[in-house]
Amino acid sequence: MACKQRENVVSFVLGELSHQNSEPFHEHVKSCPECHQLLQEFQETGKILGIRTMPSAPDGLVGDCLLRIRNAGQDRKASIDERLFLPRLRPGLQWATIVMVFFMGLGLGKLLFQPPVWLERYGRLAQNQVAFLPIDDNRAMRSYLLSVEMLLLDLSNMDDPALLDDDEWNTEIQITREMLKRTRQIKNRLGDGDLRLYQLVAEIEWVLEDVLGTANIDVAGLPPNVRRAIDDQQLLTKIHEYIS
Amino acid sequence: MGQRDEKWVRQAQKGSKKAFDKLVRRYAPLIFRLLYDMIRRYEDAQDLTQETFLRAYVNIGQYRGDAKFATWLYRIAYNIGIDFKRRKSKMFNVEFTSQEQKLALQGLDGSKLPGYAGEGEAIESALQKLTHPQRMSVVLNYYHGLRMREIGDILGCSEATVRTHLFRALRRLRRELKDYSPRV
Repeated sequence: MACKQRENVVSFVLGELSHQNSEPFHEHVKSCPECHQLLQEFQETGKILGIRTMPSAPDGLVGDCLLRIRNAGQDRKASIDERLFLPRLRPGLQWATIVMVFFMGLGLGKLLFQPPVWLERYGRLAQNQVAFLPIDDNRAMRSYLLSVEMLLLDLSNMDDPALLDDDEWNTEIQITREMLKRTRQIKNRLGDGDLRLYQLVAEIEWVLEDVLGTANIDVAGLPPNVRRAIDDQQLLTKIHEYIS
Repeated sequence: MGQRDEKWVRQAQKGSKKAFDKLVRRYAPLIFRLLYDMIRRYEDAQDLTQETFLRAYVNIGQYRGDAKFATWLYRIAYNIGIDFKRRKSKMFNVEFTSQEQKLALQGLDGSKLPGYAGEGEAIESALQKLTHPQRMSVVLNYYHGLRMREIGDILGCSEATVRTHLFRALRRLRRELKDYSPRV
């Protein structure tokens, strides 16, 4: 029957038996012929294994390893450079360039495309409302008319001068100016087309001019005068009728 | 040695190429020998050594210091060697070419060793008769000085299993090498 401690012979030979277990095992080996025999065999085998000389590493091994690591690093860097069309800069500079170009692009884009204030304020809403209208007519025209309608409603609802502050009023005036500019462009394009539409746009132009004229003349009485200018022409009704 | 490794590893993790170079210089010969023992092909072992260090370089940030750096590196090399063997299964246990045998046994000359004669070839032959885990346990213990727990980490088994591998390997080696007992 095999000794239960025989696997400890390996640990003992390899010096991996703890100091506490080492002494008792050494005593055990003296009285156990099987473990004694194994110990002797393993020690001799260890001696024979010890004379095996490992194959020498090739001379240029370290250099080859370092070269391969550097080449891999350069390949990766080169691929990044190619992707970004960047000259070979330090990594820090590369990222700084990317960030700089990004923000320059943002700034330039903002400069080149400055949506008119009226579009920013009314355009989106008008477009949303257009979605509920029958699409049997020029969507752009409907969108424009809805924008005008909303502007005029805003202007005419400014009944109480006490509730208006200067910034708010100045914004409305600026929007009105832009809408007038757009109205003139549309009127010029309409030419000999729909006469009814042409008349409507001409009236819008006239009212917007009146609003702006009133604003320039009498700042204190602005809201009532603006409302009157709009109401006199019954423009809101006409726009609503046209859209409907 | 371990403390210096850890210092170099920390520096390498911060991007120091010099520190990683030092690790390569220290471990390249050992990794080459391990891979050579696994695949028995001189040039492939050379390539795989490069592959090991490249992978270690790329993944150095993932080394957390749970095990010794050497154990971590050996594990990478071992996995690369295993993958290679799987890919080229026909190359496993391939016979030595005369050139490879010459290189493998370079420096081994039995006649110059007192008490032993012709052990070089016999040892190589006996090692090849062991199972893969047995041979790797012997190689890692006797020729790389790794402890059983570390060998277990590399081979992916417990310390007790490594002890069993070593026990059986030594018994088998003893049988194979009985003719080469020391004459002293």
